[in-house]
Amino acid sequence: MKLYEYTAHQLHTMLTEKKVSARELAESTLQRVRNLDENIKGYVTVTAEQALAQAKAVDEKIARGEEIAPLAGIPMAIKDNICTTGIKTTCSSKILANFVPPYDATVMQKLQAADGVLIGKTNLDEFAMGSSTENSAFFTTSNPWDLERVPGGSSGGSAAVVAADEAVWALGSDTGGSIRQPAAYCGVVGLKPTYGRVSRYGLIAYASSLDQIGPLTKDVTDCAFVLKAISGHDPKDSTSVNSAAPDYTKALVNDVKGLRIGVPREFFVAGMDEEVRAAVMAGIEALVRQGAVAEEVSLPHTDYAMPAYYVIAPAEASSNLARYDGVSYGYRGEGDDIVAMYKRTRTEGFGAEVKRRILLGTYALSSGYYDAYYLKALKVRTLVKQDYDRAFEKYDVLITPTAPSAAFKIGEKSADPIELYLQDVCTIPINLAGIPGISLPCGYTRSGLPIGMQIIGQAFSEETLLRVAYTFEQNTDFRRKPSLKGV
Amino acid sequence: MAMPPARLVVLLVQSTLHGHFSSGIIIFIMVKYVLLRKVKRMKLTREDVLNVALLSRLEIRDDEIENVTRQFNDIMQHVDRLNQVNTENVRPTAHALPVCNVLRPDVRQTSLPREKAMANAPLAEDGFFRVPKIVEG
Amino acid sequence: MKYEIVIGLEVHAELKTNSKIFCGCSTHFGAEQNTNVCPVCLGLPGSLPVLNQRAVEFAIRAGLALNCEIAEFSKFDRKNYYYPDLPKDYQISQYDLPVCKNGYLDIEVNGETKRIGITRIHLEEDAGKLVHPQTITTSNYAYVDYNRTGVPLVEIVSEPDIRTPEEARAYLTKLRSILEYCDVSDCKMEEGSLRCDANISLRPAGADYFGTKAELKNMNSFKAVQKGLEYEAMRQEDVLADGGAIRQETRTWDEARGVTLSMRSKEQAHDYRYFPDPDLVPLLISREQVEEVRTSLPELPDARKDRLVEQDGLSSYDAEVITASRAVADYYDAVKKLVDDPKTIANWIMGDMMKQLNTRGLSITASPVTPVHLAEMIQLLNKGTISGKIAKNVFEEMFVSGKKPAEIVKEQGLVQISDESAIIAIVEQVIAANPQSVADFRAGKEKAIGFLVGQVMKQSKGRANPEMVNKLLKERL
Repeated sequence: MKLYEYTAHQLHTMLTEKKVSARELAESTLQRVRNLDENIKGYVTVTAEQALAQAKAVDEKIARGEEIAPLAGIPMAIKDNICTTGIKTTCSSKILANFVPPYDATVMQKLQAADGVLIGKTNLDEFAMGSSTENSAFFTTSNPWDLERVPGGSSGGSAAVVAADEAVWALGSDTGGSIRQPAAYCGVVGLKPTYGRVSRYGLIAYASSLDQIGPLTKDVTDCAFVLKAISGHDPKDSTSVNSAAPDYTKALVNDVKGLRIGVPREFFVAGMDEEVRAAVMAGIEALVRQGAVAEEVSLPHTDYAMPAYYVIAPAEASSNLARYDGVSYGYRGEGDDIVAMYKRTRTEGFGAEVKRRILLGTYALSSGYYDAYYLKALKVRTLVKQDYDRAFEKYDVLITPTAPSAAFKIGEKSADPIELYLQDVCTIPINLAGIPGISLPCGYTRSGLPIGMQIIGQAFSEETLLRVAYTFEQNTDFRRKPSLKGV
Repeated sequence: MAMPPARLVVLLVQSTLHGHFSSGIIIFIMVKYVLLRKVKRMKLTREDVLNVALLSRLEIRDDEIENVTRQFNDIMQHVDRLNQVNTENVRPTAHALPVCNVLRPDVRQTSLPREKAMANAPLAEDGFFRVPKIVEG
Repeated sequence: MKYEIVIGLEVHAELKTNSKIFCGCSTHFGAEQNTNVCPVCLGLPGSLPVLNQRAVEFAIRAGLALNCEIAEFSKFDRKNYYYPDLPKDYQISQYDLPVCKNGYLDIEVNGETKRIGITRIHLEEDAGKLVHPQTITTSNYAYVDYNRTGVPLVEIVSEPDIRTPEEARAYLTKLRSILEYCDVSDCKMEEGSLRCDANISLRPAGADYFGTKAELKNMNSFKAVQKGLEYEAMRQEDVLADGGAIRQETRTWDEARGVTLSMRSKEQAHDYRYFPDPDLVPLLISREQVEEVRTSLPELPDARKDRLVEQDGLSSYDAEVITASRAVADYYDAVKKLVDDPKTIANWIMGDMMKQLNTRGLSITASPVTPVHLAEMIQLLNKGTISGKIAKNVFEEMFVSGKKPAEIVKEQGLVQISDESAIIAIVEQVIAANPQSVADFRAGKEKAIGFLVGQVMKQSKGRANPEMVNKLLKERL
C-alpha cells in the first residue's frame, strides 16, 4: 500500500511509532497530486512549499519526543472558500481570482494549531453555488470514478482529491448539500454538522443562515477526528454555539441495537434512480440486521423545502455578495464613474449561476415582494423544521439517499438550472432545519459508481450519526478505491 | 390551493353537472381563483428583470435578456409552489437555532497594519482606496 | 395664505465606546487613514460581526434619558445599497424592531415649554469617509478611508412635532445636552460625532395633513440647521405662493451662499431590501437590565435645573445656562461644595469663565482655573481681602498662570486696603490736589465725588476698600 492511501488515524499511529515521517507523507501525497491532478483537476492552488515546511515542523516535534495531535503531519486539502493567510482564496471566481486573505478562518487556526499539513486549496462551484463544480470559473473537476462525470458540488474538488488519494482528508462547506452530495458521488464520507457547531468565521459566505463547514474523509473514524478538531465555540461567530464540543472519537462504537430509524417516504419518490433506492434500502436492512428498528415516516413539507431554499439562499447571497464591488479588494472592471465601475466589475467578475442567484435573491427581497417570497419562505422553513422536530420525537435517526442518482456526466445537466437544482432535493431540507447529516457509501451502480446514504439526526446529535455510520461501515464492505477510469 | 387550475375547473364543472353546486357559487369560486392566480402567477417582464439587475449592479445584454427573463420565470414558477402551503399563524425562522444575546465586551483589539489591509486593493493612493468619481445610482 | 412649518429631525450620534460596534478596532477620531481597520470592518470575505455590549447599553441609556420604551426583543437588519463608503454594500442597522421607541424631550422656547416626540432610537454602524480632491461633482475620482466604518451610532428620529427653525435648534441643543449628560456621545458636530438631517414641509395653518417634504442635509452646526430650515421654509413658501408644488427631494445646505440646493439625484427610488442579518442573533433585553441602566443614569438637565432654581435660588435663566452642559454643571456643583454662594458662582462661571474659555476655545474641563481656585477666590472676595475689581484681575491671572488666588494676591500685593489711616492719607492727598472738584462738590455737584473716589482708587492701585473711601471722603468734604 502506498503512503497516500492510508487513512488519517492509521497514519497517526505510523507517525507516532516513527514508521514514517511527516515529510515522506507530504512528499508522497504531493507526488500523487503531480501525477494525477491534471486529470482530476481538484486543486485550484497547490501549496507544496508550505506543506513541506509544516511537515518538517511536525517531524521535529516527534524527534523531540513531543506528543502530536491526531491530525498532525497528515496531508489535508481545504475548499477554496475558506480563508487562508497569505494563500490565495478564490471561491473559484474570477472576482476573487487574486485575493490573498490577510487572516485565517477559525478552522484554519485550529488546524494549524493541530499541525495539519496543507496540500492545497480545492475547486468548487463559484461561491459554492452548484452541484457539479461546472460553475467554477476556472475548470470542472472530474470524478475519480469516471473522469467524464462530475464529482458533485459544490465541494467537488475536496471530495475528488480525497477519493483520488490526493489528500488524506479535506474540508468542504455545505449550504444545501455541498459536502454530502459530492461525498456520495465520489464514494467518501462527508458530514454537515449542526448549524453553529463549527465556526463560520473565515468561510466566505454564500447563505449565512445555512452554511456550515464540515469534513470529507476516507472513513467514519477520520470523520470523527476531523470534526473533533474543527468544532467548538468561536467568539468571532455570533451564530457559533456556546458549548464545548464532545470527543467525537468516543462515539465510534459498533452498536446500533435498539436504534430507531425513520425512513421518510417523501425522499423515495419521483425522479429517484432505482439503483439508488435499492442500495439505500439494503443499507437500512444492514443496520436492522445489527439490531436497529426501521419504519416509514412522513415529513409532509419536504416538497416545499426546495422552493423555500431557492428564495432564502439567493436572498442572503444577493446581500453577501454585494461587497464584491471592485473598491477595496478583488477584480475591478473599467468604468468612468462609480456605478459604471460597479456594474462592469460584477458583470465581468461573476459567472452565470452566481448572477442568476443574485438576481433571484434581489427580487425576493425587493419592495412589494418581500412578504410573498422571503417572509413566506421563512415560514415554510419553520414548517420544514417542525417536520423534523416531530420525527425526532420518535426516531433517533432518519435515513435517506444523499442524492437522487449517482454522478452524472459533465455537461449533462448544465443547460437547465432547475434540473441541476434537483440534485440537492434530499440534502436541502437538512440545512433549512439546521440539523446534522452524514453521507457515506452504501453501494455501487452497475456501472460502478458509488451511491451515498444520508443519515440525519436532531441538532447536536453528531455522536449518534457517527455511531450509526461507524457501525454500518464496520459491518459492510462499501469502502473502495476509485477505478480512476479515464486516467 | 394545491390543485392545478385545469383540474380544479374540471372538478367544478363535474360537480355542477352532478348538481353539487349552484351556478352562482361556482362562478364565484372560479372568479376568485382566477383573481388569486393573477396575483400569484404574475410573470416578470424584461423591465422587471432589468430593474432587479440595476439594483444588483449587474448588466444584462440585449441578446441575453430574453433568455434570462425566461429562466427567471421558470425558477419563480417553482418557487410559487410555496403558495400551496398554508402559513397562517406560522412564525418565520430566520435562524436555524434559537440563540440570542451574543455580545462581546467593549475591548480594543489590534487592527490590521495598513499595508495588509490594502494589499488586495485594485487601486490605492496615499493610504486611501481610490475609486472613480461618485455619481448617484 | 398663512403656512405652518412642520419639521422632523433625524440625528445620528456616535457612541463613545472604546471599540467599534461589531469588531475590536479603535473608534478614536483623527487616526491616519485606513489604520483603524480589520477584516470585519473592511467587510473582507468570510469575516463576521459580533455585537459590542457597551453599544447596546449606551443605546438603552440614551433611550431611558429620552423617556423611551425599551424593546424586550430587538434585532439587526441589513440595509442594502451600493456606495463606496460602505465596504459590504449593506449597512447593519435596525428596521422594524429598534432598541427604543416612543420617547420625548421637552424644550423651552420663548419661556414656554414644549414636548417633542421621539419616534425611535436604533443602533447601526457608521460608514467610512469619502475624500474628494475637489468637490463631489467636479472630482474625477475619490479617496476612501474606512477608519470610521463600524463606529457605533444611534439614530434618533423625532416626531414631526417641531414647528419653527428656532424650535429645531432648541431640540438639538437639548438633545445634545441629554446625550452628553448620560455620557454616551461626545456630540461634536465638527468631528462628525453628531450629525443632523431635517425633514421640512409646509401646510396651511391649522391643516391636519402633511405637505410634501424636502430632506435637508449637510448642516454642520446647530446654527446652520436653524439657518438652513429658515431658508428652506422661505423657499417652500415662495414656491407655494406662486402656485407651484414642492418636490420630494434631498437638498443640501450651502453654508457659504446661505441657500439650499437640490441634490439632483436621479429619481430612482431606493429599495433598501431590509432583511434580518443572518450573521447576528436577536437581542433580548431583560427588564432587570433596563432597571440597572436606569439606576445608573445621572441627574438629567431638567432635574438639575430644577434643583438649581429650587435649592440654590438661581434664576431660571441662570440655571438653564449652567445646566446646558453637564461639564459646566459639574463645575458649578464642585465650586458650590466649597463655598455656598450660588449666585456669585453662577455669575463668575457665566461671565469671566465663559469669556476666557470662548476666547481660547477651551472646554470647562480644560480650564486652568480649577473649582478649588475659583472657590478660594470667591472666599477672598467675600472676606473683603480683595475687591471685586481686583478679583477680575486675579481671575485672569489664574487663568493664564494656573496659580492659586492667594498666591497671586500675595505676590502682586493686591490685598485690599481697609486700614483707615492708610486710606485717610491718600484721601487727604487727593483733596489737596483737586481743589476744583472739591469746590464743585461743595457747591452741590454730587457727581464730583465720583471723580475724587476714582482718584483715590487710582492712587491705591485699586486696592483701597471702595466703601471706606466713599465714607472717608464724605467726612472730609
